[in-house]
Amino acid sequence: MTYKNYSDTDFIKDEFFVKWVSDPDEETDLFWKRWIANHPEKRREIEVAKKFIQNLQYADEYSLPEKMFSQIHENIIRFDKSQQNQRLSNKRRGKWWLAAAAITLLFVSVGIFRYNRNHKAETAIAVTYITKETINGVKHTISLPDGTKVKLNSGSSLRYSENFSAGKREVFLEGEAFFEVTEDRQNPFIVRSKDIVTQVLGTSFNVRTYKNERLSKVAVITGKVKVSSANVKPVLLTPKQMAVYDQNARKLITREFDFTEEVGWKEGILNFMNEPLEQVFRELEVWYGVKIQLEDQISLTDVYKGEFKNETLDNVLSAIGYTSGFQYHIEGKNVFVYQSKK
Amino acid sequence: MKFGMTMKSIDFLYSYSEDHDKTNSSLFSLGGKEEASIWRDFLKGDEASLSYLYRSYANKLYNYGRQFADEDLVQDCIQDLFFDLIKTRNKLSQTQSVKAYLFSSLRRKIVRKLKKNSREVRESKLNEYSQFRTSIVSDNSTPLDQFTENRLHILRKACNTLPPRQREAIMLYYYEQLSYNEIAEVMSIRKVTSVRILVYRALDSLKDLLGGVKDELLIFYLAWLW
Repeated sequence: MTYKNYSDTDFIKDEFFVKWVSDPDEETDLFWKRWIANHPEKRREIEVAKKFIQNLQYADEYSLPEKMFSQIHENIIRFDKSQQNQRLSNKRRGKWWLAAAAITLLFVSVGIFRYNRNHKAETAIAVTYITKETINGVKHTISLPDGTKVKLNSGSSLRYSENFSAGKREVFLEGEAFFEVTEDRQNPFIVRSKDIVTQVLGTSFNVRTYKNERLSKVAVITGKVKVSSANVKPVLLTPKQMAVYDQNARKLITREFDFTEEVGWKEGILNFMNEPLEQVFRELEVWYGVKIQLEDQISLTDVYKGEFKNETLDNVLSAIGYTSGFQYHIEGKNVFVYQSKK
Repeated sequence: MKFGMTMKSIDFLYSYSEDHDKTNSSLFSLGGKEEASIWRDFLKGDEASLSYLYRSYANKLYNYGRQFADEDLVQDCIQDLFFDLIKTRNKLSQTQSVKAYLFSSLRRKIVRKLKKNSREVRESKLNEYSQFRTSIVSDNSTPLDQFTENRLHILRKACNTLPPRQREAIMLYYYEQLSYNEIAEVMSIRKVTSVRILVYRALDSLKDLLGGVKDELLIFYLAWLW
């Protein structure tokens, strides 16, 4: 939802608006004055929201009777004076403790100093790698020195040695990426990820191995792909086939797959196939680069099935919330999800 | 029960950092830097700062306390609160928000006393619908058109149909201008997210009440309800 569709209560709910009304600064003032000038049709909603925020008060306002106010004031000051002597007698002891604390601090800082030195010595031998990373909410296409194109999904990283082009074509993947590998029959292209290794000569395929997901997946679009993992028999995949590795069962299975479901992400398609809502939220966090916070007692037993192409987070949440019975509020990069009232 | 505010319980109040949201931590820093230095001087034993704290907060605390407890009880609790501060001043640490600290201490004192009283005198549980009654005052600074006037009128009525807990949260947020973190501290709610949801729910209800029905009908309905 954009401000254009806001009702007065929506404005009241919006932190950025509230900030402007209660405690304006340069940023909020500049934004809202300009926004209001550009949207004269929202004048009434803004006016109502403003008045609500500014003029809300208790139906019954109280203040201490004057006599009582000064009575308590006197009592407090008197009590404070009576406590002063006691505090003075404690002072000497306080200094002794200070000395002890200083000595402890000295030991601790020596410890930290030594730790740092050891630490530096270790990192000096590290190999140089090039790392490309995408934060949540961002996708990125990378060209490797051999001409291979890699589209990196949100919240993923690709690492490869500086000597990549020299001979061995090897990359390390965390998260998800789609590869279009330049053909080179002499040098196989190897993708190493969490628990599987994918090896090809020249082809296009998708690898998904997010750290917090139980299943690792390789889906093949063209060419031939070899997938292997420790202690299991490697499998050979042909187009339209995928390999799924289950880290609990430690099994590698092959099956056919649906294109949109597995590779749709690179065309901006967000796809859920009867996924539990927790999983749906986790994917939305990565896709839109937001943090979704759930109400404590919320019960999300539902699974969700649906597809969105280049939709805003607001539209996606409103669609899922409608069928699954939750409410939400988007506040910048934070989303708060709570149960709808029955 | 007199001096229950020890170092430990203060640390606990600030220990919900896992859920500490950064979006609004300093949304309304009331006294800001100045207040922090007054608090520091008070901790060092400065009498003028103590006096200043009392003078600037006594009436705010009283107004808040009176929303759910009677005159004598709130007065007692305010005096107790400042006695506690003096007693434990060398154990207290620098606080992020003096206001939230004072409000939460007062609230805990009042709740404890109310519970004790209701054990002794059975009927003493305050009618909770009389708690945190709200209103929207009309200032005559800018003349409002009929639509705006009506809308505010409905909002005023609708607010008082909310559960008292939601009303309290709303008042702490809009009227006392506390941040969500501070409200969590004051209302002893462990997670800041829960406070936000409390406020969002309240506003959802207002929206529902304001949404479907034609305005005049709604005024009639609410007038009848209240």
